[in-house]
Amino acid sequence: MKILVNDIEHDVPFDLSVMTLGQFMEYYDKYGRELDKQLKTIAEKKYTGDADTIEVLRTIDIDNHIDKEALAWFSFWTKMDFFTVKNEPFIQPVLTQYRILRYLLSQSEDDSYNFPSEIEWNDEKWVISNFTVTPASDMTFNEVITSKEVMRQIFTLGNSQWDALPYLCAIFFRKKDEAFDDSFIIEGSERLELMKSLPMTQALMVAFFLGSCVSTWISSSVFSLEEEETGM
Amino acid sequence: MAKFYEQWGWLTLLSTMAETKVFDLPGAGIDSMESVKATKAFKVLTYASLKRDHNVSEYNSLKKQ
Repeated sequence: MKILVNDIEHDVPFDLSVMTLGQFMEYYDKYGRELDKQLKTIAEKKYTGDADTIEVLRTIDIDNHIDKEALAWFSFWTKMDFFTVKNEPFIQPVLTQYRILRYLLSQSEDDSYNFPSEIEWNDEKWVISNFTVTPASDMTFNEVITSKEVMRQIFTLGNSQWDALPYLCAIFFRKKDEAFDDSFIIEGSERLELMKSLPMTQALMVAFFLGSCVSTWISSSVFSLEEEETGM
Repeated sequence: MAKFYEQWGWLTLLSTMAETKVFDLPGAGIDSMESVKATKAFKVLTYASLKRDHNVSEYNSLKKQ
């Protein structure tokens, strides 16, 4: 979407395929993390009153939150601070427009869950490793343990899932027939930097894949059970 | 997901599997730890599950005695 701010045209994307993982991480650091915290607070908020009153109060909070989302989204992409003009009458059409376009954003997120086996990217064929751990699957134990260690270290440092995603993409999203190599996840490596330029649609496919992976591993390995469950 | 990873204890699993030397690749010029990492996930997970089953059953038998 093109918008004019002070007669300067800015491009504000509403399609995940035209933004990179690196850009989204930058957005998340600047605005997304705080917005997520605020949304969590709304979700956990105890409202008082009858059912209708509670519904109205919650709707108002969510509505205000979407306004903040809109201001953050436009601020990030235009490099202008929309929060300083949030009460100006001319900002209302922007907020309304965001609500319409937000739907497109969630639509393109849904599309990323239909992941194909092969993806054409940078003139090469890339694949997301098969997550089903069967006798026929090629996934090595190194991929499993490296992804675990990356996640543990990132969460220990208090970082988010978005910080983990380039590493997970480097592990599970590879060129066709390419084996995983430890050098892929070394800080500053060419592969890790390349993953930050991955379109968000592909990055989310890997994230979705990983979610499936975890549930598969949980259900297929007794080792994943907690000690209490096994009585040890 | 973080909670799941935290609980699973993969590094312990890796060193336990390396100690068994079951996955050693003779002549590959790599140590037991690297050999486990290079092994298919299915093989290691299946072995670990069976080993865990065996240990649980042994523990329960000892408790009954």
